[in-house]
Amino acid sequence: MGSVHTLPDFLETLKRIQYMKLNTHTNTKIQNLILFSPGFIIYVGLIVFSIILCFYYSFFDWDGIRKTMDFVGFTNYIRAFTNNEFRSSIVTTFYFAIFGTVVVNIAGIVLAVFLNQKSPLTYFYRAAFFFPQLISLVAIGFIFKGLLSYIGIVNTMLVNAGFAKIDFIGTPDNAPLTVLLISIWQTTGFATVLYLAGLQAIPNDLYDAAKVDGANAWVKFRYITFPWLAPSFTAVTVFLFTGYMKIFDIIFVMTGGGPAEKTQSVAVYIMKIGFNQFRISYASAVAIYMTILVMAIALILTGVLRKREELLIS
Amino acid sequence: MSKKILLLVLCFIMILPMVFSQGAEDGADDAITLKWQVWITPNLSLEFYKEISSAFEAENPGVTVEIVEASATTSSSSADFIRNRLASGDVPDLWMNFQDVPAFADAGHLWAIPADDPDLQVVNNLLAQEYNGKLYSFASNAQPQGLMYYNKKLWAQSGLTEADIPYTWDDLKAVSAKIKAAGFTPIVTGGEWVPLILWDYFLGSELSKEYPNWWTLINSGEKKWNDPQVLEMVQYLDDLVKSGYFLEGALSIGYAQLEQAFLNEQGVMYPMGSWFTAAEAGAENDWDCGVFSMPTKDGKVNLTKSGGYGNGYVVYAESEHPELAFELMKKANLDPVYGAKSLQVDGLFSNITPPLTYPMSPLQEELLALVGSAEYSRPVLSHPLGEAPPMGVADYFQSNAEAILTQSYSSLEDLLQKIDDFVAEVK
Repeated sequence: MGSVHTLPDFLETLKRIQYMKLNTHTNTKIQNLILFSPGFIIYVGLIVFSIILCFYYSFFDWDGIRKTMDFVGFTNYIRAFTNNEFRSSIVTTFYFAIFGTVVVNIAGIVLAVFLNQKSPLTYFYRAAFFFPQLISLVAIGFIFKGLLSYIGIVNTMLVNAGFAKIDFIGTPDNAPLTVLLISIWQTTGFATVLYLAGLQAIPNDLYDAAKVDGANAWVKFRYITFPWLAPSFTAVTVFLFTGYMKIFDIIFVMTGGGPAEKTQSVAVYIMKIGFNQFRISYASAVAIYMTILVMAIALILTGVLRKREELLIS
Repeated sequence: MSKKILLLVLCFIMILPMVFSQGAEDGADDAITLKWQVWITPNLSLEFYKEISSAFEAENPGVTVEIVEASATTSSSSADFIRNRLASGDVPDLWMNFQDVPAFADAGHLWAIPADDPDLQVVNNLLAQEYNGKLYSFASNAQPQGLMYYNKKLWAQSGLTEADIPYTWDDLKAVSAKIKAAGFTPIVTGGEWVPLILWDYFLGSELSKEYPNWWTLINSGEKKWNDPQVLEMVQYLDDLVKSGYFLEGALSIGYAQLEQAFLNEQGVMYPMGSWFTAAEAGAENDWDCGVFSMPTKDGKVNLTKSGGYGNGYVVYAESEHPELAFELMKKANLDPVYGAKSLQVDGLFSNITPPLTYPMSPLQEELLALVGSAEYSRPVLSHPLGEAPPMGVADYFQSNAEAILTQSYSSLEDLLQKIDDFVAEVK
């Protein structure tokens, strides 16, 4: 770079340093843009564009196969608002969302605390509990549909053990609970991983201090572990709730929304009206309704839980 | 340096799909690829279709038939599969098991086949299959549907003879009671799309007999589903369920499992379409299977069947080779060898003169005699009766049948009202 004994030399050196910084800065920006682009393009192309298109279709009367569309304004929205089947599917969806979120949260925290202990089998247990998360819900649906069929292996084992058969997915009372439990089993691993990460972030000094004060396991959990898991709790709860509001795959494969529409979530209802009844526009209106509803709930949940985080951690 | 390499790799990965998604261009100028959407079921295997496509390719050098698979697991027709393909732009040239001719013809997606084609003149009542004056398919086969198969061995063990074959609703209730008293399950049925059959067959046999133009009456408002006469038919099905005559846990059993359940003697009677005869012919049983048509209120035989505007084969209007697709359609249905095999693998009967024949099992011969002697023969309720039903109405037939099977409804009138509400909504 040369010496800087004189002022011109110094200024020259300064310019060169600034140029290098700018060059590096520009290079970094370009690199970031290239790294960011694939995901962004896919997101905009598949998600954002689809939502815009869906919103557009909702104002027309279109069956998805005609080459022309008739503008009908808000007719589809009014129709959805007054449709009993849509309302009933919302109730079913909330059933999955509320119970699924609560149970997975509880199971996730319990498992995370258990898996946070140091033992020779810790890593094995972590892998085992996370494994269901790696399997697609469609595959899980097919597997459990075969296992839990009235003439399937589970019922055969029950009979051999002297118990009565259980119709897990063929009755309106059992089918929703069965689907819920299977989805909980599949999703708990995800919650566990997030809570485990949250547990790692809790300072050990707090536990040491609590130990010195004679706190038992429950007191430590209540006053240290649980409050400090607040950020993880927020993330898991919002993610789970919004995910369950879109539940589709496992229901479609296992029950098709039956029996007698008792497991028909909004997503399954949208598929039925859009693809079986060829009412793409009406299905789009229902989908927009759900998008707005889920966004609103996600915002409220996030707001409330963030305030809770601040209270607990402060 | 490693960052630059990573960037280069990422750029390459981004460009790669754009290059290879262009679609394959024809290698030579005269090389043609014909896409054939097929319907995969336990009877209709991929190997079966490949046999036909290979024969077609041998007769048409330079033509490759690409088979596109659609499955019967979750749907009873290929319409929603095809609709998705229309949206994606990758549409097969020839479609099969396609039921929604009116909607797709109105939308301009179907190619009108030439009604004066010499090969088609063998089809019985060819022009009766026209829609709005155009022919889109031809009914080269007949598919009886409203059938009840029965295990003759268990039938006899229940103290029943051939003279006890039921013709009326009361007859069916009486034989079911006897079968149940003997310790057997009277009627096997299942889940997935199978409950649709209960509505189509148990109600349809009576309803379509009384009103062969039922959908014309519904569409005009002259008739409603929530009608005392229809209610009586639903009540009949409900009575059978309440009496415990159906297989326990039916809705958790898939179609393939259900077929095996009947072949494994888990029930005496099995309501299903003629395609079951093909599976029965291939099964190794130590018992004989018989068949009768679904009972009606007054006992007059109405053999419900597939109905509509042809046999489910149609050609895509924007196919680059519609005439070639039409030739493949004829190959699969009218060829003495492959047309006959198409009938045999799916338990269908020939509707051309002279008819295509295949070695029939005793059950198929029994069914053929039944077809010939039936007083009436009407389409099932989810197919056109006069006019075409609204698309998606089969979902309500299915959910209503599920509600009756599980006894989870507020009233039977409510179940019928749901169909009326749906019809009014889509009008």
